[in-house]
Amino acid sequence: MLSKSGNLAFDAPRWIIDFSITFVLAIFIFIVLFNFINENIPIHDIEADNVMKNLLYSDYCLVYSDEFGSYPGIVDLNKLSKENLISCFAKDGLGYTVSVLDAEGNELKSIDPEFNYNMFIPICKGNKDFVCSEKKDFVLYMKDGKKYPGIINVEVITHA
Amino acid sequence: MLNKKGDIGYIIYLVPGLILLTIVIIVFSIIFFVVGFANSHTPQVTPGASYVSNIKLFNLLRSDISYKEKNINVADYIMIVDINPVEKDDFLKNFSPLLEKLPKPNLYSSSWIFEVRKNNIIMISAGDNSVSESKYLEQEINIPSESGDILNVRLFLKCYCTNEELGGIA
Repeated sequence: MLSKSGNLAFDAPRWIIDFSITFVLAIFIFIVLFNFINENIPIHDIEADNVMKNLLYSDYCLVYSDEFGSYPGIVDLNKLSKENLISCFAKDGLGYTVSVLDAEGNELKSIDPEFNYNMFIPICKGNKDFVCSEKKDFVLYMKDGKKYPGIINVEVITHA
Repeated sequence: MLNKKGDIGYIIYLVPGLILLTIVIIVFSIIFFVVGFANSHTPQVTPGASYVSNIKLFNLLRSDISYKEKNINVADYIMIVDINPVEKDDFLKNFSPLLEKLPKPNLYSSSWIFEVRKNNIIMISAGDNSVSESKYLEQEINIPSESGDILNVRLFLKCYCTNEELGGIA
């Protein structure tokens, strides 16, 4: 009888205590996971940098090449085409446009590869769903077998 | 009797167990939430401006500029100045407009500085050195001269810039 009454005395509190401890631990794990999953890591800047690096360093993109080799940093204007840019660098959730200007700032060629996101570039500023940036770099471009100084201008849009 | 012993054991281990659990939860809460919040302002991804290659300086050195009614590249012109320092003023006159063409942040005081050092002594310096702000986007190339010395060529941006402003200059 004693032991039975002892059981009666402890059965209910023990169940509650076990459940409470499990509940507290589950809530703690859930909060940590929720924070981790919903953490917003800003990768737009590194994505934009990646686009620029691909354009200027990859032989499949804009790099000028001849029978002796490739010349990273020198842009072949003939390679600046919609088809070439699509095969050169495309990624879900990212869009970009490329322009090459001469040293005086006059536009020589501008290409919009018409990625899905590109249509949002004009309305990107002030829109919380997208992040936009513009990157410029000093390049040389080939024209009629001669190299000239110029500027490459890349506008990149990603989802926020 | 067994049940009773078990119950007593449960009470004995419950209190220290709960204390230990509370300590673990508090410590991990501090690690996840307090330290996490404190670090929330530091960027988790390195800004693009930190990934600097030498391509800008390399392009500058292979750009053509005018020398005695013909075009030669900047690297060759530096060799000429190295051999004949009298050519330095002409070099600066022809090279400075090209340096001005490099994209820079739209700030009233920012300037690209181009320096060539020989034996750690500045041989050529182009750009507006009156801008006394910090150096950014520094690029460096060593080129051998005809005299056998190594010429250290540096290019950097002097400005009071934020990472966002520098991000636009690839």
